[in-house]
Amino acid sequence: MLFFIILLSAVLIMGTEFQSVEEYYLTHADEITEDSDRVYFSINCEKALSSGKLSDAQLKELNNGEILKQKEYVLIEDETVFDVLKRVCRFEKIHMEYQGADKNIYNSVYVQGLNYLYEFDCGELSGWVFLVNGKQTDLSCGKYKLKDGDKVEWVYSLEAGKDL
Amino acid sequence: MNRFLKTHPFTMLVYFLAVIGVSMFCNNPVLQLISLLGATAYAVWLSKGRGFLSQLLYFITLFALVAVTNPLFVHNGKTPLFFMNGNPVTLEAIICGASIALMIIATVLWFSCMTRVMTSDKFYFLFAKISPKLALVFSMALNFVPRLKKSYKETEKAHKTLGIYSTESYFERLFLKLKTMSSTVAQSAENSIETSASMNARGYGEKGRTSFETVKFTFYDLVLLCFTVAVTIMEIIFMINGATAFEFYPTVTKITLEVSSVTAYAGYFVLCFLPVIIEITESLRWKYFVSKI
Repeated sequence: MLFFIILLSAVLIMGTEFQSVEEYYLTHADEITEDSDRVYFSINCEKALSSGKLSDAQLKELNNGEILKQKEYVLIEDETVFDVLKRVCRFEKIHMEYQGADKNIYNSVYVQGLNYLYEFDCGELSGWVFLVNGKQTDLSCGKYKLKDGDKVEWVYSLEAGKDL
Repeated sequence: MNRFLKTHPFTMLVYFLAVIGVSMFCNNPVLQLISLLGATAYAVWLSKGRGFLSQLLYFITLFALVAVTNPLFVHNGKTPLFFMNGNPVTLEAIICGASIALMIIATVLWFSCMTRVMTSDKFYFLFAKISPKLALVFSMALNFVPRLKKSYKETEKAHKTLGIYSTESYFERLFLKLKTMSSTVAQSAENSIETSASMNARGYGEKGRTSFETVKFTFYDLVLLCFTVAVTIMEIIFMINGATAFEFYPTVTKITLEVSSVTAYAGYFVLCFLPVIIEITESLRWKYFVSKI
């Protein structure tokens, strides 16, 4: 009995990757050279502030809706929106929580929360939506491949993307 | 020793519902802790300290399990301790898990106190006039698990003397316990048919069936009832007003000692420790009177 428990916990521990806080945040942004592809990234949640359903502690973290001002980042070949988001959040130390695996054949990732603002916090239809060059895409963030010069905006929507 | 047992069943029922209700619907860890302490105190008094250490071990394991489960699935919270597969395990998630675990253990302890104090005949007395069928269902449901446990122990003893458990291997004995369990369940099923036939013949479940009860609703019960209802209404008002509001994410609310929250905690403290207070004062009075003989 004890042997099985030890075996199970050993398998689980070997299979997960543990990192301390410093290790996780120890990334550096790639240098933007003349001929590298680039994307512009921003995270915005102004609509959530006006809904009035957020707690005081959450409002303190959001600093008036601009979680990330539009900034330029290097785009590595064949990267999806989610890969860039993960890199950006790690570099800028923004809290991100996602659901799903981005390395399976469906690339089914769903971003639940950015900077302590989660889906459904402001009603049943609220959540994070991403726009590429101002338009919503047909693909999930784990599947849409970016091109040079694209502008990605993550906006908190109160009506499942219809109020953008 | 038994003063709380002798209160009117209606007062007892209202008291337990009030305490468990407030403990379940409020997520403030201070209230959960008060409820847990009150439940532990009364449980220790009822069991007179026997079997306390084994129960304690069981509850500590349950606490650890539930407290660890929350951080594994919830990654909200401002202070990450370490990262697991890219998701942070945060201090706020651990505190929330601990609070949920406290609530679960407090509720379990209150219910175990309630089954020892509120026996099935008291339940029957309460509900017989309203709906005899409901009373019947309640009394049979409440008695089911203790009766099954007793029956399992007897069957296990019989199986041991029959020599069924005569193997050295731990796993085989574990599987043989399943065999004993299956025979216990079959026995309880047969017994239930007999019991239901006998209860039917004696008229349980019929309206107008009277039973001899020496229970009277005294002034003491009225006072207790009013106190319980008053404190519960005060707690509900405080919960609605937000004096006991508590958030875990993204940061844990600081527990401030304002007048309203301190009144809420003090009121709930008195309510949870009420049975123990009653029992202790009655024992002291008894000792005092006996010493004067």
